[in-house]
Order: sequence, then structure tokens, then C-alpha cells
Amino acid sequence: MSKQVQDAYIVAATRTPIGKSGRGYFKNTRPDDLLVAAVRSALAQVPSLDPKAIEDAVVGCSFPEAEQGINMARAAMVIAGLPHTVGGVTINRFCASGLTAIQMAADRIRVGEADVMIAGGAESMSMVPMGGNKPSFNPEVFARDENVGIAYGMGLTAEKVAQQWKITRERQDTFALASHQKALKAMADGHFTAEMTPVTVLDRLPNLATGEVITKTRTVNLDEGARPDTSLDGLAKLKPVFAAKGSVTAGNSSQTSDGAGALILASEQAVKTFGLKPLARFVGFAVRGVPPEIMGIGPIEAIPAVLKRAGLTLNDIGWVELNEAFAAQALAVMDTVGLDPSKVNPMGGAIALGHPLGATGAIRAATVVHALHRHQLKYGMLTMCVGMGQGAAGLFERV
Amino acid sequence: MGTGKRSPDPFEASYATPSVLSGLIEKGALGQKTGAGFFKKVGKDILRLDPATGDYVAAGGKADPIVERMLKKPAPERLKLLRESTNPQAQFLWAILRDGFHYAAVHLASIADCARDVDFAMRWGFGLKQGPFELWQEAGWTQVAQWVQADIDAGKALCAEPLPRWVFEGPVAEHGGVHSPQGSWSPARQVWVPMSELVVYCRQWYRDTVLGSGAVSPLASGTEVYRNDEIRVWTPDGEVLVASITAKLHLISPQVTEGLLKAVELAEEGFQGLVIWSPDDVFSAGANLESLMPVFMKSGAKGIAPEEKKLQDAMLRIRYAQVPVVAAVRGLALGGGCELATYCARRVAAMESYMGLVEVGVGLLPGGGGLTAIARRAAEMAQAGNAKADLLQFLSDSFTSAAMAKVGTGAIDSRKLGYLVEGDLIVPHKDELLHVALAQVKAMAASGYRPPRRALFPVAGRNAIATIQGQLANMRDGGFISAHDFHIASLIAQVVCGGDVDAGSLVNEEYLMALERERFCSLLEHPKTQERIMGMLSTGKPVRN
Repeated sequence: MSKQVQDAYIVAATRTPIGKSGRGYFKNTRPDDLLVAAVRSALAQVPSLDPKAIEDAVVGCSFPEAEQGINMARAAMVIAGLPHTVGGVTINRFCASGLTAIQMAADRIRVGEADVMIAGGAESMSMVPMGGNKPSFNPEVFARDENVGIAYGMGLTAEKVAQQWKITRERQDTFALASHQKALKAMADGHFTAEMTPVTVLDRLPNLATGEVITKTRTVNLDEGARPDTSLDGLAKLKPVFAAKGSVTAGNSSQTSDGAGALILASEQAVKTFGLKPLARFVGFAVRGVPPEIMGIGPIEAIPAVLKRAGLTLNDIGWVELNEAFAAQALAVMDTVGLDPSKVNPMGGAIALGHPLGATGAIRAATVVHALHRHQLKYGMLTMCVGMGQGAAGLFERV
Repeated sequence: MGTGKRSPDPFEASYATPSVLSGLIEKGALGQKTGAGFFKKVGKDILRLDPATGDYVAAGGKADPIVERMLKKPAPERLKLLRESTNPQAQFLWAILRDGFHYAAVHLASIADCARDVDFAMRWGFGLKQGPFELWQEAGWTQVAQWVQADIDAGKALCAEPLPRWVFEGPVAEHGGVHSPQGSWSPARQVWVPMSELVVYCRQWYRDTVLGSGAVSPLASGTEVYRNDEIRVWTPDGEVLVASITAKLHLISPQVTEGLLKAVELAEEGFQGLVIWSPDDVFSAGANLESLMPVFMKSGAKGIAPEEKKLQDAMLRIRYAQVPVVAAVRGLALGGGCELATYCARRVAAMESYMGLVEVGVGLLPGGGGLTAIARRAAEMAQAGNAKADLLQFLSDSFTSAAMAKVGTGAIDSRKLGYLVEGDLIVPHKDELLHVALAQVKAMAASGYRPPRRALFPVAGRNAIATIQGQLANMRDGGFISAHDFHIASLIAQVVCGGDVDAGSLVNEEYLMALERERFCSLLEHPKTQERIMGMLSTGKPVRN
């Protein structure tokens, strides 16, 4: 059980739409600008909060370099117009960065050393590719066979999981189709509206004939990735890309994406002082390492750990966001842990919606928090696997 | 077609669509796009139409050995044997040739200015090695004419039109053919038509000619200054030396290397520069591995290392020669041939040039300086931009080309792979290649050509090797490459990154070439590489192990 001195409450949670990297909505939008949009939107949800009460901002990012370098958390808070007294730190636990940022922010409150914190995540895979701009492996990776898993691409680890947990191609494709279908239905039903911060994008293109710069404004308010034309036949035609005789394809893997999320956390004292309405209580967090070459099974270890720490069981959990890095690993986790499929990603997951690495934790936390209210559920879980072999899980309680 | 009336074509009846073809068309069997034609692909097999039954049967039949032997004979004997044989395959071949001679002779006066144009058209347009008149003349003009006329008289030809009179009487008959040193025969104008003297042909030193025109082969022209069994060093104009490799496939053996070194020496002493050029469509298919076999059998890899060093030293000698050395590339420039072109001061390439480092196909790595050149080029490109630029970015593509034995599908693709660089030229007309190469040497000499400065250059080092190996591990453990492929590619990475040194370490070519030799020889002693070499030598096909 936790030895915290006080609870940390989420009082605002929001996120930008997720765009497809490379050629999508946000291909020319800086990730720090997406983060600023999310932070401003979160602050707008708590107009009675005095920003000077915010101690620090913890922001997750998986490749914090170039457009998301120079401590993006700090730069974004300044640009967002927060008082200079607010700190900023950018942290990296790959796909669990966003959730870890929430945990770190919550813990400052829980030890009684901060009253209000910002937590978030931002990633532009359009501008900084997976692996970064200058990947550089340590030669020690090849010193022992056991180390080679560090060099494995995520897709190859998914193939290893598919092999060992015997997840067939058919199951993976069916899972992928369901992700798209659930996402499209949730979009049509307007279920993403509560958590969404629309983003206005300014495109600036040179007109070569006239020499002028033409600016075009467009507002993005829906995720880009879900495809109405997804079908089992279409998915079946895709070739495996990570292993010569594999089952993991582009269609049953998460999409690479751009996006950001932001949450505001507060102590009970701050809630009272500023007349805030808490949405959820941060219950707990756990992280566990697993062999790098099968990183996808991370949640198999992290989920039981976080439940035990919180004194809860799977039955207590009403909503699970299990990041769909790959259908193969999501299914392996669900099979092994015994997750109830009807509770897992009811609004679709990363296969349909996209996975902007370091932002995903913050984005999906916003989804969980608002879903708990929409469906009047008590506990929600957010969990994901992490490249190089980790699993992380966090718990939230609706208040 | 045409505006006025024309005389009826005596062959017209034979243009009717044969029933076997109209039958296929009726059935909708129009070829590959409809799933069947004269051939039909079923799974991995190709079946052929049996015209008698209309069914598709197994294909892959080969010529009878006796007919194959006939085809290897010189032209006079070859045609005689085909015509006199009762073997239906031989009869078929003779019939095709006879009908071609017949048709060409009957129509020559009305379709072309002279016989040479018909032969060029058939060679350039239909890919024949010889035009019909060339073969006819080579096989014996009068004898073949008599055979053709006899077949016409016996009703075996496509039509009864006799061969025209100029075939049997007059200058052609006296000369014994339509091609002579004065030109080729024009039955329409009753003259020998010489080759065109238009100015554009001055750009073609050794243009295409027809057999019988008496043109001198480039390998027998100019002034020779040195030769051995495998290379001829000569000058067409007294200004620039030309080194023409004469060995089969222009493979680079110790003799060829010796000749190239001699050529450089002579060029430095008395010429503006050196062009490496051959009249045929191969630059060099690589180092002559077979010639190294006896050394390997006797002394193992230890015996190969000094031979490899001689080749590498020759590359450096060419690169640092005091006069420009230009590679005139056409056709295959593989392995050592690609390396040879790379070490020249400039490359001039015909459109159909196929350049690549293919040693991986036999389980080796480029050991004649090719990997050293990749490392040096990456450093040059990185330094041209930004002194701190990440070297690996400039290495990746070239590393991949070598590790996957990629060969350019033409000069333009070879440039994309990095085997032609800025300053190199692509020449659309193959016969202008020598002219352009000679002009380049002269231009470089006139510009006060100096060899490159011997400079140290940075290498990417051990972290880059690990980073490349990371990619390779994914390919290996994903089942795309074998463990031995991974091993060879790792060694290539080690060389192009400069070995187990810190990033940015400064090295010279000699250091990298020593790495190449060490890794090359280690592969020579590897049983899986030996399997690949043996497999290639015996079947001509690469072994994937």
C-alpha cells in the first residue's frame, strides 16, 4: 500500500487529435506547438486556478531532440504563457513516457512537496523519426547474445511474442479490424469530444509564380488514423514486414503519429483553495522490466504489480486502455493476464488511432478519465509495453 | 501506305495470319496478360502450346546435340550442314536463314539505299549479331545464292520469285558479296555506297561496320606501345594512351595489373593521360579469382594477401598518377572492375553500364579497394557539407549497395548507387564513348591536372559499426539474411567504418586497405564462403548459405 501523505487529483485532462506521421494532419506542426495547445486547453478547463500555484511541468517524449529537444517541457511552458516560476522537465520512458510523466507529477503532490503540477506528453514522429536523427548503438550490444534484443526493432519483438504466445495472423488481423471499427463508432458517437483539444494549423507554402507566401488555416478536431475501408480481406493481403515468414504487418501494428496530451494535477488543498472540480484520483503506478526481445509482454508483469500495490483485482477495473503497439502483443497480454476483451480499448486503440510514442500515455490517460465519467465507472487502468523491455501500468479512480 | 501504286510484293501470300495464331486469337489467348499465348505459366512452370493438339505441354526442350555442334562451325560449313541435314531442327534453322536471304535480296533495291542499311537495321533493331547479307557473304556468296535459288526452284521457299540478277551477275558476284572496302552494294543505284562521312561520325572512332568492309579492328589499329596476353596498350592519336583489356570478360589478373601499371608509367612519360577502354560491351567483370586458385591451394589465404595487395597498390597507383586516367565504362563493371573504374580520376560511361560490387555473391567482400573508396567518399561528402556531419548518414547507402551486391541497371542507376560521381559523364551513343574519354583526358591535362592530395580522412568508428550491426541483427533474426550473410556484412561494416576505433579517427587509404585484406582473407578461409565460391564456379549460380 502507498505511503503517500496525500492524494493527487486530476483536475483537467485533454489532448490534441492524433495525426498520421509523414503525410498527415500535423506533418508540418511542431510538437512543442501541439504541447502548448494541449496545455493552454487544460488551463482553460480550470479558469479559477492561479497558474503561479503550479510548481513544475513533467512532459514525456521518446526522442527528445531537434524540434522536441532543448527541454521541450520548459520551452513550451514559457511559450504557453505560464509564469516563469513554473518549472519544466522532459522525461523519457519511450512509450510509457506520458504515463510516467503523470506518475512523476502525481508523486510530487503525494509526498507533499507540490500542490499543483502539469503532466503531459508530446511527440512528432513526422519531424523526429523513430530511432532519432542519429541512432547510435553501443558496441556492447553485441558483446553477449542476451544483449542483442536491445537492437531489435519493435516489429521483430512483436514477431517473437507472436511465435512464443502462438498468436495467429488471423487473430491479429481480426483484432486490428475491431480497433478501427470501435474507433470509428466512438468518433461518430462524439465520445472523443470531451477529451479533445481542436488544433488550428497554419500551412505556409510559397507560391512560386507570385513569390508570395500563402497561408491556409485548417482546424483539426478528430484523429486521423481510423479507416472506414478496413476489411479482413484488405488486412490479409498485407505482407509481413519484420520477419520473412512472419505474421505482423503494417495493418496489425500501431501507426506512427504526431500528437500531444496534457493533464493538471492538484492536491486536495489546492482543489479547495481554487474551487476546482477533481475528475479522478491518481491511484498508483508500477513498472517492470522484461526481456528486450519480447518487450511486448511488459504489461503481463506490470498489471499484476500495480493491482497488488493498490489492493485491487482485475474485477475492480471497469475500463482498460492497453496500448496496441501490435495486435500480437496486445493479444498475448490479454490472453495471459485474462483481461475481459469488452473492457479493453472500447473506443479503439493505437492500431486505428495512432501511437505518438511519448505522448500516448498522456493522451490515453485523458481518454480513461473522461470515459470513467461518461460510463460512471469506478476504476480505470492505463498500461503499455515499452521498447527494450518494460511494461508500465497506472490506475485512476473516478471522483 | 505510300501514295502511288507499287509493284505487288511476291511474298504477300506468306503474310497471312497462320492458323495456329488465329486459333489462339479466337480463343482469347493473347499472351501473358490474358494468362496464355504460345506459352502458359502454370505455377512456376512454363508450358508451351502443342500446335497439333492445341493443349499446353511441358516446355524446356533443348536443341539436339548434333545441331548444337553444327552451330559452332564456321559459317560456310555451318550453313552447309544445316541445309543438308535431315534433322528437322536443322531444316527449320536453314529454312529461316534461306527465307531471310531470299526476302532481303528480292526487296533490297526498293527498301534501302544499300545492303549495309539492311544489315544495320537487323542488328540494331532486332538484336541480331549479324545482318542477313553479312552471314550470306561470310558463308560464301555464290554457294549460298545457288542453294537459295535451288530451294526456290524446288518450291521449298516462301514464294517463287527468283533471286534478282545482281546476285549472280556483275560487281557483287565478282566480289563475292555485297560488302566491300569500297562500300556496300546498292542495286537501285548500281554503285558501291561508302560509309557516311557526315561530321557527326568523327565522334565515333571505331563505329559499327559490316563484315567484309575491311575496317580495322580497334585492337589492331593505332600505335601499340605495350602488350601481353591479356592487355594491349596503344594510342589512337599519339596524344593519349589507351589500355584495352583483352582477357575473357576482361577479368583482372596479375598480367592485366602488370599491363595497367605499365600503361600508367608510359602515360606519365610521354602522353597527356590514359583511357581504359575496350571496343566491346564489357569494362571488366572483376578480378580473376580462378587465376588465384593455384596460389590459394598452395599457400592458403596467406598466399592471397600479397596478391590482393598488388591489386590494391595498382588502384592507388592509378589514383595518384601524375596524368589523368579516365575509365570509359560500357557494360559490366563488376567487383574488381567497378573498383578499377572507381580509382580512376574520372569515369565516362555509356548509357548501358552496369556497375556494382558483387563480391558478396561469392561470400567475399570487395577486396580491391572498393570499401576503402566508400569510406573515403563518405568522408569527402560529409566534409563538403559540415565538418561535424554524421558520417554514418553518408555511409549507409553505399554500405547497403556493397552488402547487397547491388548492380546498377544502367549508367543512371549506377550513379544513384554512387559508382558514378559528380564530374563523371554519361554518353548516350556507345560509339562516342572513346571520343568523349579522350577529350576528357585532354581537357583535364589542359587544365593542369594534378592528382588528389594524399590526405587523412575521418572514419565513423566503432559506434557506427554497432549501429549498422543493429540493422543487420534485425534482418538476420527476422529471417531475411543468413548468419553468414550477417557475418560478411559485419565485416564490410568494420572496414567502411574504419575498424574498432573512436568515431572521427583520421586514417589513410593504406590503413583501410590493410583492413580489407585481413577481412577478405578471413572470408577465404571460411567454409561457408568456400561453399559459395565452389558453387558459383561449378553452376554459375550464387549459393545462399
